[in-house]
Amino acid sequence: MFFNSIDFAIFLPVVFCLYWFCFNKSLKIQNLLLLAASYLFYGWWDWRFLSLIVFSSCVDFFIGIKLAESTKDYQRKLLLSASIIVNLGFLGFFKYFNFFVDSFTQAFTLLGTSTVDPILLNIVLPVGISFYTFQTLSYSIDVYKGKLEPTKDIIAFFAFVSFFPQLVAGPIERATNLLPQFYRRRTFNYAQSVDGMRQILWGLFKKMVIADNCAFYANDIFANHSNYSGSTLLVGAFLFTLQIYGDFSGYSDVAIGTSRLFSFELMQNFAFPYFSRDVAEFWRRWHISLSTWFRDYLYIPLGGSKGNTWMKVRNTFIIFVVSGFWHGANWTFIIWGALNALYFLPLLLLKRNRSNLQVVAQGKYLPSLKEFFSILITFTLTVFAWIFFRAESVTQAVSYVNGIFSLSLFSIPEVFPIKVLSLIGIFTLIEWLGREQKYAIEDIKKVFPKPIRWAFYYLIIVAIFSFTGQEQEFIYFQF
Amino acid sequence: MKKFLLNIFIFTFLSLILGEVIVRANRLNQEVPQRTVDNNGIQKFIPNQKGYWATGEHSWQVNKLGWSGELPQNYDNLVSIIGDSYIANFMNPVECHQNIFLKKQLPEYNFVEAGRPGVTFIEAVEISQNLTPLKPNYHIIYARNNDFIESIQEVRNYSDRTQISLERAKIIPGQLKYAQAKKILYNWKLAFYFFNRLATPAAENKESEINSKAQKKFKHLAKVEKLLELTSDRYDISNIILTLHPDTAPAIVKKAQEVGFKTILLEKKEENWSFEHDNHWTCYGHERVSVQVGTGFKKAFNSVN
Repeated sequence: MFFNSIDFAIFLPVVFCLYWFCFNKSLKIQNLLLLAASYLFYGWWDWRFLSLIVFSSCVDFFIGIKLAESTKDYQRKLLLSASIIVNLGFLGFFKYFNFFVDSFTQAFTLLGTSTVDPILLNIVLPVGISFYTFQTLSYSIDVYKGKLEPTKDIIAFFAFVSFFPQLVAGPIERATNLLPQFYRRRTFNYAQSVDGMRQILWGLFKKMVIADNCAFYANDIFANHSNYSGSTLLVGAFLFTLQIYGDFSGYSDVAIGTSRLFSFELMQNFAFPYFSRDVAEFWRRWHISLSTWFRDYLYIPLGGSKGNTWMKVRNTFIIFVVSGFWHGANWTFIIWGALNALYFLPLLLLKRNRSNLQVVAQGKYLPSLKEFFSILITFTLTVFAWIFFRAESVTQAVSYVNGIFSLSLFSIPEVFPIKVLSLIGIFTLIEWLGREQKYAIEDIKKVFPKPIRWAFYYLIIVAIFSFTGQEQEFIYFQF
Repeated sequence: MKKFLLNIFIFTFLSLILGEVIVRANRLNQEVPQRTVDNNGIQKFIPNQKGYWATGEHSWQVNKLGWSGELPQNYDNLVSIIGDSYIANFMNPVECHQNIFLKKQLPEYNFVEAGRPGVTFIEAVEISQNLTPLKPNYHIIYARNNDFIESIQEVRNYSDRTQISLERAKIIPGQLKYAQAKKILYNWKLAFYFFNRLATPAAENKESEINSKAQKKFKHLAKVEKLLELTSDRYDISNIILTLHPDTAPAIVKKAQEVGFKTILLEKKEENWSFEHDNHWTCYGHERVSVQVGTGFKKAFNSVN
């Protein structure tokens, strides 16, 4: 079920009404309803893959209990290993099996063994497997580390793993944040719900107006890149940069807003990353739930930024390459990750990776000239990296980059969608004005009276109906 | 909670009004004519209605006889053109109707159209018999695979279309279905806008899927053959020429000829007869069809004359 579908437009009010009007007397029944709704939401694509979520939830639930019971260190390590093996085993099989087989085959062929006949399986990737796998893993690791008491409430735990707003594309919630919210009695909060609705509306605008319109042109330019001039390829890369932001942050906004309707608070996943002044700041603002997951469960255990220069370089490369690989079984994602590591390393080695912790131009309307150029450079580096992320293969990415850096870069682009670029202009302005909040239009309630606020919401709705692009799936569903 | 629900209600209510204004002001929907059933049990449009097609690029008008399309200057040497939505042709301006194009092909004849979305083959034949006050000399009936299948009640029961029961050899006249609900839907432009956007594409896809499947393997051939036999026994078909869509199953064409129908099997030599998101013919498509029909008509009836 997509957030931008009629199915969801019916599903959400029905679950909302049942949740607050029929099942509001008992916390357990409310959790049970959320669990049933989440399984229905997921099963809408393919009910067979529900078994994976159920199995994964069972494993981590019982491992959590066993971890609390065992006192011996080796037993605890064994239990944690079991959780990691099961979860990453599923992920590895469904997502990476064919990639590894194919890569090994190519490696053997390069070494001169030409008779290798690869066994590739026709595997369907279960939607959202990378997201819920990381969520359950975080539970087992936190219980192992003693940061979290294991739960004995199986319904709450299963609902935490499969919570429908963030099940298929995040934010990847930590058990320490989300699970306790299933234990406490939830009461309807007017301000929280109105805010949730507002965030849903903004998320839909990002997805249906910005992302889907950009996708229309970006898909064409990437698919036929050899026929286009360098300047058009640059436009294509720019449009994809906006598409992926609108798509993914739009999804996160709808997910967070939907959760708020049920009195849940999810973590912020995007904090206006394209206004970052350096790559380190970009990674503090882009897909925050994943970046912090890798930071806490991979980077810090590896030693983080402590140790000698070699350790720092090694750890930085590991976290970025693994992060790239998390996105998909393709060398393009690995190169994208490595490229970001290369962007990040100079900042780390010069100890300037934490120099831009505050929002740019805080309290001001405009950035300084230095800030403006810093944003521009960071944005350009990001656009370049996205080419590898978007390309179907490394060959295509290299060919695309070669196409950009040709003489035709200075020609008039063949594709220059004025309407879409104008929408992007308006969107950027709103995002800039709202960059100090959790999402761009959050503070509208403080600034404008109700009639103006409502008029603005109607404008967004009209924009969604008037300018909505051809429906595209959410990009991050494939991860 | 009360405040939240009240706000949602007011916001939604105002949204509906705003949406209605936008849809009406921008003419995002086509207007749909109201229907009636005449004394002969023929379902047609209420006469003298006017409306516009989506985006308001052109308007349509129902004539005094209750059909779309202009009436001829005089009714001598009259030929009727009967069919479904392809002939009702609300999606094109009046100058793109078959009667206008055929008049150019066959200037010695006058043409009157009797088209309505959903007309089945048997209903088209029934209409041809009930146009007798106009005394058409000939009838051109446009049909597709589905029009034959949908004529047979035992295959698919459509209470709003005229059908025939093969077992009882009886015509079952179509009745107006959900007339009031449809009237509300067509007048509530915003609801109709969503209905069109969400429901129609699926229906069209289904229809084209059915058509292509039907041509590959025609399931109900025996019943359609019986339908054609019954039609030829029951009606005077000597002055009817069946114009069949290019994807019509060859077995139907053969059987129609065997029972005495004159036929024109349209040949689709080009791909661009239809609209991009709609199977109906464009103005160009209608013009190309009329050339083939004109030639086929001359062949079929000039030899008789």
